[in-house]
Amino acid sequence: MKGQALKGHLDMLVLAVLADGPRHGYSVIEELRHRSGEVFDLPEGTVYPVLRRLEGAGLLASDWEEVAGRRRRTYRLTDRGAGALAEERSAWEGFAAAVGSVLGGAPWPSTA
Amino acid sequence: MAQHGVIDAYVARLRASLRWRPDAEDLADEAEDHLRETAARLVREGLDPDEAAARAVARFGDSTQIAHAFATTPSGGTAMPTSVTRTCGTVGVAAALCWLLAALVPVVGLTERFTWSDLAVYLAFMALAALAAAMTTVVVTGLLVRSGGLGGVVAAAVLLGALAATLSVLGVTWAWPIGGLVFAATFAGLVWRLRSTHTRSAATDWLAVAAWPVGVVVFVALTRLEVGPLDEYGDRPVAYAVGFATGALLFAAALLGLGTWARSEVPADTVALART
Repeated sequence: MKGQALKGHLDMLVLAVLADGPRHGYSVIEELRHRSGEVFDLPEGTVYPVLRRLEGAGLLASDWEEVAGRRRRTYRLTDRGAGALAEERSAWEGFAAAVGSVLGGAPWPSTA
Repeated sequence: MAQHGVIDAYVARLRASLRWRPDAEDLADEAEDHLRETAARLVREGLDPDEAAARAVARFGDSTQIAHAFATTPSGGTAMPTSVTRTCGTVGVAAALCWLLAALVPVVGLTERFTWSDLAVYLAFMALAALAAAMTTVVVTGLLVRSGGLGGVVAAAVLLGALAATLSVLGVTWAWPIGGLVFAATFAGLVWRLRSTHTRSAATDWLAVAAWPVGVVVFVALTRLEVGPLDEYGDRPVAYAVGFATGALLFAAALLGLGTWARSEVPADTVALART
């Protein structure tokens, strides 16, 4: 259930992790795990198809560098990606607040 | 050394699974960087190098599944929107239905007279078979694009075969064994392509390859056994109809499987995100 639920939001979460600055794939998945308190612990390779897809959609851009004799690709958010993230974030916050209110029994928007 | 061995073997498998992508080298390099970084960190945390490499590979995930996930990713002109795959699946299901009806029409029509003299039956058969063949070519094209694009010798051969089979069914329906066998060769190429790119590997897809040869064998056997009366052209319509029906029904079942699979492809989140 957790895996399926995460699947639908992985794009948004990856964009959010990259909003703080450029990262390579390893660092993206580490940050995802860290920020979620170890809850989002997916097969690490699954982040790369997401990164490639987001880059293909113009929401991310990438650069190659040489680190310890290996090629490393670093991803950064594009302006379009930042716009998409803002929109997703606001939609998510509205949705989460509404679900929370229904589950908690309080009216929404909350007046407390 | 052993640490490098496990990671090298994994990266080689991943590279092989992704070889149809123009950026396969970049993806393999990226995975290798990730695996070595993970292994190095695990060694710093106290694991021995062999255990660290094995755990890094295990955490990365199954190479076939990762490669499959890349199949829905835009890459060097081989991108395919999920909605197109699903439409292609719907056409596949419709094609299966047409083959099914095309199989039933001559058999049902023949039960009355055992000849082709009923023009309406023959015309219905021709129209359905032609429609089914045309839709099958659309499905073949869609699945080729979905599994890595129309480029390459296999893709070109598959596409030309599908067109040739369609034209032969369109032109002379009674020559269905020729069109059917060309479809069989076409689907052999398509199924091989789907499997080698890890887009899909269902054993039942080989039914699409076997269907028409089985139909032709039935047709030849019934002709040899002199089943049913001769018509005015010296042919045995029962042998033609039953042979065709056998091939078409099996082919329809295989297309139904392929179509249902393509129809159920999950849309990529990016499609929605990219609209913003």
